[in-house]
Amino acid sequence: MFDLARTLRMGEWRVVWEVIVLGQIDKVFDVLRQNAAMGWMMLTMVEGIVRSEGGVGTILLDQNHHFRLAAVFAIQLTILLLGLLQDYGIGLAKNMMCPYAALTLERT
Amino acid sequence: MAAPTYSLGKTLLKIDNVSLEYDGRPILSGVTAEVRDIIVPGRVQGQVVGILGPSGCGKTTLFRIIAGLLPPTSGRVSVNGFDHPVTAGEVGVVAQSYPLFEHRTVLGNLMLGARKKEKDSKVARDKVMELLNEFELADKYNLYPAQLSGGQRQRCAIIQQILCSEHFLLMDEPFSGLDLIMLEKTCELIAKVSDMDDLNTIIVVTHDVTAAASVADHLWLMGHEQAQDGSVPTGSRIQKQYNLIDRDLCWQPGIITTARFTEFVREVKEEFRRL
Repeated sequence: MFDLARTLRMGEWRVVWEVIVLGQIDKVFDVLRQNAAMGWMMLTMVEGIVRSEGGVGTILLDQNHHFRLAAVFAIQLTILLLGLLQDYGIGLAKNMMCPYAALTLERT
Repeated sequence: MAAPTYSLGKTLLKIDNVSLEYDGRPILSGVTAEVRDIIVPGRVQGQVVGILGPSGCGKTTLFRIIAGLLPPTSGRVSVNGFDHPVTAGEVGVVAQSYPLFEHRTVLGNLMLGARKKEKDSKVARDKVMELLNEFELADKYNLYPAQLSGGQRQRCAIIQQILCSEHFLLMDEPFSGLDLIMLEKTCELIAKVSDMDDLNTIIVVTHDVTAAASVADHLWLMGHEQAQDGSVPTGSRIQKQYNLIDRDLCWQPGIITTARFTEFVREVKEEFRRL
């Protein structure tokens, strides 16, 4: 793509914009989705380790410690639903901003 | 049959003693060739040159040098008056995979090329739509490249480069992986683009001898010179040039079915094997 940009006589900043920013933005959304999923896992784990700061990870471990399984499942379900909602939202934003990303010849 | 009447005009592209080395290893050594304007009375006639050579002989490297994408170690390639070495953008490049910006529609991709030569966006858009009509893509202007077939994508990539470059178009392996029908269509497309303007010059880099011979008016055969012990002491260069006009082997529909064409292809292949 860099060669294509150069043959179209683009300047360096235009190459950066077309090839690196616009050309890769759909992949940025995919990475964002993966990182958001990992973020929830890291959030509960780190908050569980650093308990003094509180947070959902601390609550989860406290409930688990007191064997309140209903609360543990409720928290986990909440995280799951929030995660799904977040994932759906990022996917929606990707489809709106990068409609070309999901296109293939077979779908036309 | 007599060869068609033609004459050669000014030099359009000149490759002057181009050499390239990587880490002291010669890739190209003293490549010299030129493309001259072919003038046929009473009709618009562009130029089509086929660069042939075995794999690894430096065809694609020469392609990149002619395109201005890679500076040679010595020598120079020049176009359009020869006052400066070729720079990226002067020669259109259609790579093997027909790259287009996937985030732009067909129209968006073509406007990128058109706006480099035409600052008025309405005029540029009109020019784009005219070419889309010419290449039977007018109804596809709003689609993204992912929605195009291979042939449509190829045409779109060609239009983009025509819009931006100065009569020159380099095509890397345009016949690779095509079935017979698509191969014929690609040859027709190359002939059509070359005949759009007297100065249009298309250089096709390929290892498909038959397809190249069927569409080109000149063939350049690239290869290494081998020493008697089989070693390759120098880089590759153009070993032989064929003028297909003098041999009466071009600009004729159905030429590939004739015995003399088959004989010519056999002759080139023989030469090919020696390289």
